[in-house]
Amino acid sequence: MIFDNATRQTNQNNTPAAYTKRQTYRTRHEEEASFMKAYDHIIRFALLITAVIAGFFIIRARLVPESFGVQGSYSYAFYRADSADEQAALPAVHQGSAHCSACHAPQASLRQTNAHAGLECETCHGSFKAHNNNTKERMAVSGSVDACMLCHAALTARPAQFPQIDSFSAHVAQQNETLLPGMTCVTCHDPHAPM
Amino acid sequence: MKHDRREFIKKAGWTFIGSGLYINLFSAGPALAGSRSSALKNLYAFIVNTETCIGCGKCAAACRAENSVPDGNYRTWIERYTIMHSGSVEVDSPHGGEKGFTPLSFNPADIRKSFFVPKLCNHCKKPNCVQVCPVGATYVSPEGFVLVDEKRCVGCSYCMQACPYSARFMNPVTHTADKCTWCYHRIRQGKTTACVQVCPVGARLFGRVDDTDGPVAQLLKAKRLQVLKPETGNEPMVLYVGLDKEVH
Amino acid sequence: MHDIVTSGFLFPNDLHAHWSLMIVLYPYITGLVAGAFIVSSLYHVFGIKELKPVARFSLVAAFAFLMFACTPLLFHLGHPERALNIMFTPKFTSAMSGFGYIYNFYLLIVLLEIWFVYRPEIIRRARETQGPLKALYWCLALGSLNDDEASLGLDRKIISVLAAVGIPSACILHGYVGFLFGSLKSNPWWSSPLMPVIFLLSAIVSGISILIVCYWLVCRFSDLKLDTGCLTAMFKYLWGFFILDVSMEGLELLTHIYEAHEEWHIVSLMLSERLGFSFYTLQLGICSVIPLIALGFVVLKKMQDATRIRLGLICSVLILVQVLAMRWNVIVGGQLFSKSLRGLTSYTPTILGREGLLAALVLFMMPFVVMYVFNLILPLFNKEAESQQ
Repeated sequence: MIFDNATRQTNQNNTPAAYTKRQTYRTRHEEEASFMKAYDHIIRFALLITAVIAGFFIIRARLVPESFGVQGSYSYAFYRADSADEQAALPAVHQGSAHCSACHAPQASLRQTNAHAGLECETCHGSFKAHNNNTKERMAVSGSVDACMLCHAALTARPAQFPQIDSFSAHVAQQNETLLPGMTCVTCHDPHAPM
Repeated sequence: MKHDRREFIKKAGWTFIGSGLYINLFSAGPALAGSRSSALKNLYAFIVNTETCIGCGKCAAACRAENSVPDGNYRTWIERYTIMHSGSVEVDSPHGGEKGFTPLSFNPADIRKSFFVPKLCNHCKKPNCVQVCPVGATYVSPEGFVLVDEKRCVGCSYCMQACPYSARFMNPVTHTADKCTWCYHRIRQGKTTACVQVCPVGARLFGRVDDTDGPVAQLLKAKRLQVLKPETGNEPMVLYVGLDKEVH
Repeated sequence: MHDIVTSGFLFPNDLHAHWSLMIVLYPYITGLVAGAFIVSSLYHVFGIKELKPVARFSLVAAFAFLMFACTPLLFHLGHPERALNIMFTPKFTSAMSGFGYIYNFYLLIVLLEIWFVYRPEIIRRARETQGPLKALYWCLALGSLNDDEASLGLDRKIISVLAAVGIPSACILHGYVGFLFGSLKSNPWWSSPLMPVIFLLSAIVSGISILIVCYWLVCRFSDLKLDTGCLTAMFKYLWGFFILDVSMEGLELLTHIYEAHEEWHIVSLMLSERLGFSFYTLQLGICSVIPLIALGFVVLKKMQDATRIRLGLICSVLILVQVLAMRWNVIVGGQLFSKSLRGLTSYTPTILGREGLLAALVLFMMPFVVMYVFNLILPLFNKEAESQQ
């Protein structure tokens, strides 16, 4: 039904009647040969597909990293095991206050006595990374009001017990001080021991 | 190699049949019965205290420096919720809160309450993102950290669609999925995470669940904790103190 | 570069739609495959004789679209060179991981079916032609020029088996694309058990529509005679499937509205503010209502053939637009609201660029180029049979 008539015409000598008649006199060997003949194109296609699939698995075996596989749980731990170790080897950027104390003992001990005692050096000074790479890049914090206001500006969302000021000028007035030009938080408060 | 291949075919075949049925259907049983069954050990938990967070943004800034997070993407961020007496809710997170917050222009008399909520990857016990990764490029590490293998990731973004918390982003430099790693490298090196380290008020805590003297285990005992979007069934391992119903 | 328009509060990582125009095109093309294959199966398996003129063509059309079904994904991937990872290290808990295998399995079935259907033709040409053409046909026949009745009878058996296996495969291929979206619990606009059904039905209608349009165009611009009976039969099936499709889409929307989950607030806002035109006006309005009514007339009312064909054609084009709009509304729509459920973002495709409109247009034209080239080698339509009728 799906073949054109043109094709059918070329096969006219193979009408079913003629076909069965001939088959009656076939030897077993001939039958096997005709069976192979009818399946010839299918075998070829099957070989082609098999070759493609085999090729796929050969390429796959070469390209999948050795440590890839199920590491315990298939659902959540089917991965390249080396990946976790590679990530663990990344250098840490923040070093922690203990590291700073080695060179900056006075500031470190001053800090320990006061309101900022719980703070890490890098909270205000930023990450240690550049400083550490023998560039001696300074880690100074700008002494601006804004640097302190990041934590201490009054916000309704901040816990009420946390020390906050509405504005620098209001705070100065509240403390009965005169607002002088160039005055910042650090004029009165040592950031390492503010209170 | 030949052996490996055969192993793979065998494994893949069985898992294809088995994983769909067994892992997804039957493993729900013990979970319902109450035992937190999981093939993986989740040794760590992260506790965020919304009652002490001051919204300084130091954590987000430290995270960017520690992990070279490209601008415009966030591994962690801070949201500010302002709930009015009228019941309306205002939420903002300018630059992910990384540069701090400025006062809002609302009349203080109209505000019922206001608070900060830091967000990060929840490192779920049953992470949806890992479930949907088609190539095994994101996984739960032996310690329970949800990580991305940037050498295997094809960049299909399916995990970003699957994460209910939008903790993931497409890294514009590597063109792979990227997210908070709970500073996996720092933990393996015996340090704590960058955000926990710089937090001036201790609003972030990280540690082993089984370390009974540790701050995390102590809080787990002392406080009633909530997780974000528990209905997704992902079982987040970031736990919140003082989480409000308005927070998604 | 268009600016992103946001409103409300979005999670900071939710500003950009990760899945772009290319991911809209992907299910669209895949859908055309499924639809075209269903038409060929209606003839080969269900014996709908009216569809004979397009039986071969629909099979080749399915193949041509299938060849480019994956390409939009490659344009979208962050690392297209790693695309085969999905077959090298598939993780079957992911709905996406099966794609490589399902796709290739289906491609194999379509390829095999085409080969068996065209084998007598290939062999005839291998015998009749000379030189390089002969070599080409010889290669296409895999060097086996046996067309006796035994082998052809075998082929016929195999074709009906393949067509029968092809139907569930086509359904799986496209139902599966719907499942990709429908199974994401994180997205309230996608997460729905109806999603695979809707994707499948819309795939079928879009496939039938594109066959109608292509068949008409080919007849219009070549000496092929348009078979009105065949076209009318396709209109009939199109109408039937479209009724189901629109009902499912309506039911899904109705369920969302009626259940009114927490998330529905932001989804409905997204629909009215961001997809007002493409969802309400195009997908649910013009492109659904007009074809539903007009196709009813085309199928049920007595009218002149010319009017019937013209009306049916307009409906087919409208349905093609409807399905494209549906793909857009689902895929882009699902990314226009933040998972904070408090804010909306926007997405406008660029003109140029890897994921731009131009690339999408060129990509969409490619299957038609494939069909054209195929027709140069083997005929899409059976002219001899036509002239004898």
